[in-house]
Amino acid sequence: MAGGNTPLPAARLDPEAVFVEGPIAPHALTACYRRFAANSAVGAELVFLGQVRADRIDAGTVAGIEYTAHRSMALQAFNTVIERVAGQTELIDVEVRHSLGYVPVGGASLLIAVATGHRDQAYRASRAILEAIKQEVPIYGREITTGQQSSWKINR
Amino acid sequence: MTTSRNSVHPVVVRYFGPLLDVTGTAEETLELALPARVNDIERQIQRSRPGLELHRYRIAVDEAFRDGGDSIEQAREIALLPAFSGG
Repeated sequence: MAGGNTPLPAARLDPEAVFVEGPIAPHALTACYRRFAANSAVGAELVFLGQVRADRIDAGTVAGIEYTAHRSMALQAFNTVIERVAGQTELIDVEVRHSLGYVPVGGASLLIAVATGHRDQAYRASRAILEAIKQEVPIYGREITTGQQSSWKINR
Repeated sequence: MTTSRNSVHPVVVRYFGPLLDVTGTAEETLELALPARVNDIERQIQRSRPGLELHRYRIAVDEAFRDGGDSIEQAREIALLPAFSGG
């Protein structure tokens, strides 16, 4: 979708594509690039990837995170977030992917790709979407340690 | 508060995040008295699943967040959603 700060339509995200089983594969990035490149109004693209860290927690060292979600509420929340951010920034296009299931350390579990006319809006939109996802989308991460202990992730 | 108008209905109750450690199941069907306020529905669920009362969570009825005082006439699904931790 092209055209300044026109809010993106509701239900913008493809429900079949948003949730990825396991880590997000690198080809998701090139798919975003190809789609955004086809839009002549786009002057800035920004991709944020959230990656699973080998954090030290009380239960041990994190080996991976098992993600679960209320899928239909999460999809609805993603679209609400995008619609709101589109109304606040000059978002031209956006893609979001989130992992479900197990993602080992080093794997990407979240992708936010935004396309805008200029860089300032891209950074602003990406950050706004990221922070809103953490607060508003019903997804849960259970950290699994190398010793097969587990602990529910807490967003900070 | 439940009233004499109440009748018992099967409702799918879903648990998320740390609540799974309390219930040991992600989903179950409970017989809940409706209509009722959300607070009353919550107490009915807690009676069935002791330990939930120690946790903080929001309640969604048929995928819409509701406040404790809201009156619910009927429901297909009730979800108990603690703080999110995606991303």
